[in-house]
Amino acid sequence: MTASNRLKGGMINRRKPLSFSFDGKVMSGFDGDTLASALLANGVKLMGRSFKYHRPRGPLTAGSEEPNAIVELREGARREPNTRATVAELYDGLTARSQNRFPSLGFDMMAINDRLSNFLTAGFYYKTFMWPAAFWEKLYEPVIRHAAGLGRASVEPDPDCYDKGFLHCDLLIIGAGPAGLAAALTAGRSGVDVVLADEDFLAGGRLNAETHSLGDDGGSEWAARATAELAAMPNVRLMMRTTVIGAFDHGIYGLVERVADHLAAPVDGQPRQRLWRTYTKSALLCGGAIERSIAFENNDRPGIMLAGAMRAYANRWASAAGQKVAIFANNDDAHRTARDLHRKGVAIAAVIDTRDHAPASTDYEVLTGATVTNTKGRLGVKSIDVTTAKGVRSFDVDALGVSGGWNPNVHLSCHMRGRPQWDDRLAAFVPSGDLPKGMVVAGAANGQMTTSAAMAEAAAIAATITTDLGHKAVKADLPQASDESADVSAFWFVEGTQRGWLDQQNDVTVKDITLAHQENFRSVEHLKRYTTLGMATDQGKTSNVGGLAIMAELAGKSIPEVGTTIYRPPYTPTAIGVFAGRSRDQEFRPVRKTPSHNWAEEQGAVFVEAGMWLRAQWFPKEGETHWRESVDREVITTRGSVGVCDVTTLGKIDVQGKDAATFLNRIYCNGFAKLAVGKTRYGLMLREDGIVMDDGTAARMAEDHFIVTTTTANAVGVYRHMEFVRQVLWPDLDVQIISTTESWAQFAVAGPNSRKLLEKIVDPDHDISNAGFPFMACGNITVCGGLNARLFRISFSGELAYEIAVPTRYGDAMIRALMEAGEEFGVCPYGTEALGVMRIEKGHATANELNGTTTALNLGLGRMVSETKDFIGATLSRREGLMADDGLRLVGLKPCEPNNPVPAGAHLMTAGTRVDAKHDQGYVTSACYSPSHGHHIALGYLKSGDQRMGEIIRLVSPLTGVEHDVEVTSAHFIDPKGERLRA
Amino acid sequence: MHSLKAVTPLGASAPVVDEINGFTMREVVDRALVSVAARKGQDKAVAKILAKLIDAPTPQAGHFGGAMTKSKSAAIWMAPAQWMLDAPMKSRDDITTSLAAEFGGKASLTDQSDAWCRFEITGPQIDRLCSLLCAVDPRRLTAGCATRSSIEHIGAFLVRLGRTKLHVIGPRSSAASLHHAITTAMTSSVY
Repeated sequence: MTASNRLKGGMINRRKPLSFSFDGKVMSGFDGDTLASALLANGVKLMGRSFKYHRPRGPLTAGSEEPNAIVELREGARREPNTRATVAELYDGLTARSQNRFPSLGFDMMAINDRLSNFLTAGFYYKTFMWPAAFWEKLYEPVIRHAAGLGRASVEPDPDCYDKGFLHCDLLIIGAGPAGLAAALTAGRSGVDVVLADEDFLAGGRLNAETHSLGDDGGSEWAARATAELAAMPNVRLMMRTTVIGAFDHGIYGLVERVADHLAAPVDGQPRQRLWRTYTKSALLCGGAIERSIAFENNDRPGIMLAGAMRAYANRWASAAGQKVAIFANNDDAHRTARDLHRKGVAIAAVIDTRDHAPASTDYEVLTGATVTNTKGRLGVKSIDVTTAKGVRSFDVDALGVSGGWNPNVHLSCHMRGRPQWDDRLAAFVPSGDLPKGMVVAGAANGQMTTSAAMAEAAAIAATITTDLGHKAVKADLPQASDESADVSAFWFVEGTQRGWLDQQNDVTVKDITLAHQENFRSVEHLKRYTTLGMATDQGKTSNVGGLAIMAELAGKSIPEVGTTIYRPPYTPTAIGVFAGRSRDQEFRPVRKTPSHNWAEEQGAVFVEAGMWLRAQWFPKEGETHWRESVDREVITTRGSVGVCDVTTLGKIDVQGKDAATFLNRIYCNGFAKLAVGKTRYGLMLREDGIVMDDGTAARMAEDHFIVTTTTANAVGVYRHMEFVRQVLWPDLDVQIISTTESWAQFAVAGPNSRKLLEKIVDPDHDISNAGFPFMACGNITVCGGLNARLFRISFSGELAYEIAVPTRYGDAMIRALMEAGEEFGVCPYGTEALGVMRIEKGHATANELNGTTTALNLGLGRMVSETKDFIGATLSRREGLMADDGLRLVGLKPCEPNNPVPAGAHLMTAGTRVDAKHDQGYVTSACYSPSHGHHIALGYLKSGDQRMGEIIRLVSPLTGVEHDVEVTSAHFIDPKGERLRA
Repeated sequence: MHSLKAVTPLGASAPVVDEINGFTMREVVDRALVSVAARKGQDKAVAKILAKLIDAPTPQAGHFGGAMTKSKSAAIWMAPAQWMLDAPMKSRDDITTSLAAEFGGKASLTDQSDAWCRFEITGPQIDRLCSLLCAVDPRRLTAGCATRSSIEHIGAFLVRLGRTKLHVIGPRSSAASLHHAITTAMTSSVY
């Protein structure tokens, strides 16, 4: 296809032609084109179908506010639906497809909806699909979704990566149009740290779209010079292709930098986009203005676009919207489109101005006090009907430029729930004083509708900000812009219009607003949701004010009385990937690896996540096909000889100071004041409300030095609690705490041969015999010929057991040394599953039992709670309700039929009673298969459990259909007297 | 001499070095870290001893004092009346013992040498790298500054030794995740 509508001039690089395809047709454009400008240059106006009626559509705008020309860009995993052709930069090999049509853009069978428009009015779904209710999910919703789809997702993982970063500046200037550049020059030359961001790939804004001059230069030349000067300033960061998507609390702004969207694929190792969280002392919004349309019958045909966009396509991109053009407007600005196009040789059929005082022209016909009342042309406008006082005239045109005036782009000024205020002079909303922290608005965004006024205001405000920031403001010596008139008279819709489009993307017409008003959906928020006005991907940037104007007229109110809906980030559609950044797949969150991780990997361990930790869950051996085989073997080996488990993940807190013992005595419910040096004690920590917070051990290494251990899950919580107690509750105590969880690699060595194994590791000058190092002893030792280490004789498994700690860097060497030393005993490593099985067999509580509702009494540890001292939780733990004799008590449970499991979460019922919440007797907290006993066992809480030993009760799980009898036993399935661990 | 062989936080036998886009990142394993927390009422006395040890004024909040060189020690401010003493790693076994004598019971000392991984990053674009890693304003992270921040959800200390040199100190168990985050940022920091 030849570039039939390509004009002369423009800011495209004709030395760099680019090839691209649209719906399979190969075309050519130039470097500097957008997809929309290149398609227009190729004579393609039909670029999409509307959401609801599948009306043929072409581009309405030349910017990010585009509602119509949305396409699927790229192919394969990179295919992205709903991409605006008006901002998609052309690159060689770009592929785009139209969307929301079947089978083709030219012939769309779903366009039947347009014929049925009388039935598909606002609220159609709410009224039609009320019944039968069962049809909704299976029939109505899928059919509607299919019909109304806006493009197809690739349904493949995003092949690109995204970065998140942080920017810091003194002044963020949003928009690099004439105002933004003037402000940046002022602040930049004065030495202010400036970030200047613009969503376009070329700085200059409307200067690139217009033909007027700035001093001796054309507007675009001045913009290029200003940009070059700014780019060379070390204190200015010029960020093109960067959209400020939101204004957030405390002067923080979200910026999305499109690093590689203008390339076929990102450069290797580089992200597709970056999300910059930007901290700035002040922000200057120079977001310009967005042109609005006028509602008239069939105002949505391809070829009908905003007059300013038509001018931009001609001047910047050398693309003509058509060969014979008409302009319909209520303001002077739109006449510039006719002038510019005429100068470029495009035939102007007429300029139709609603005002009586429109400027005349000698080059083309200007009809004053006139309106466009209808258009014709199925896949593109072919003619327009113009109504004047003298009657109706028809003009053959292939493009129509429309302008209803310009709306200051207040969006970002309202992201913190600010509401804009109405300006009668402009017939538009302008930013109010209720702005995000540190924000000031300048230029067209602030209602300054001429270039010179916009630049002068921005420069003056930038100078004030510069001074406020403590810099001496240097004047920007701005050139004088050639004057342009911005006269406008409010005109929203042509009288009698029914199917005149307001929101072109969501197909909201004047008639829909009228219907919403009739049906009493008059609040602006109701209007929005009932009609879907402004709810499409363009957020109604070109349509909202028009809708409000019509509602205002129907309701007999002014537009500001009707008000606006809330503006919310993001300003333009944003890829979800950029919010995720690098946090995806394996890097979704950081991991913590234990000191023996590499060794465990070598053994083929299966890992499990425990918070951020990766812990070995079990170590499968050759021939083991089921996890239970591995776990059973690990338990049997440990109980029969010796096993080793990495327990580094348990929290370790170093507590030092003269008052360390007093401090722990107040934190634990049991006594610690008199714990002897060299001894360890099990401790229970309560919350203020008397409920158990955590359990663990505290080892007294010296008079003024303890090592506290916590559960893996509560390591951070307990540390935070201790800091709070130390700093806030008892700041008078001399206590210093610090986490040492990561400092030490700690291994549990458990089983009857554990001492024999350790005797080969611990240096011989340390006596670890039962007499020399009895149960609950602790001490500093040396291992393997002199390495400082720590040894604790504590047992979670119920066996003779130790925990040995070495500096973390030696953890890898230590696990290897333990395995080698244990070879003669048939040592095995065991993972968290076997650890869990053994602690259930022993009746030791863990997070399943310490579930935030249980007391020491529930755990059967009521006697641990001191009655003679004060400690955290003391008073509330003595509440009557928590002390009841018939309360829940920790018990063991074993199935009457050995093959039956005793699943955790199941509830306990007294035999013969109804299965309901009222008769609930308790629940199962932990369950496992016990290889030591050859059947399943469980721990659970049972009402008066301590008095019901031997009772047969019912275990029920209505959810999973389990119901069978279990016997209540002691929670200590093995060695209830504790002889093994004292051996 | 014991028979156990140490590994680096990244699990290697020698410090891992990465060279990407003009940055060099090296695992630092030759520094010992000891937490020094003043006992009640001993803030000034401890600060004085510390100043002598690092041969420089005791650092204030957001800073470190002294030098992180082969023969010299430094102290990083951690909290009121708490510093992390950074000393050349000789034998990790004697550092708290010898320090205990210096402080004479006026401070609680906890060896933290193995609790952390540390990466030394050198290169002309440290500020850019910082921008991709954490919320710290690189304009304010000048030589002599030490601050805490979060890098890809990992709590870490940033110690600015010079315009082109930065130490990142993070939890040892997350060394691999931190290493991945930093090398990714190095790769991506050409902008």
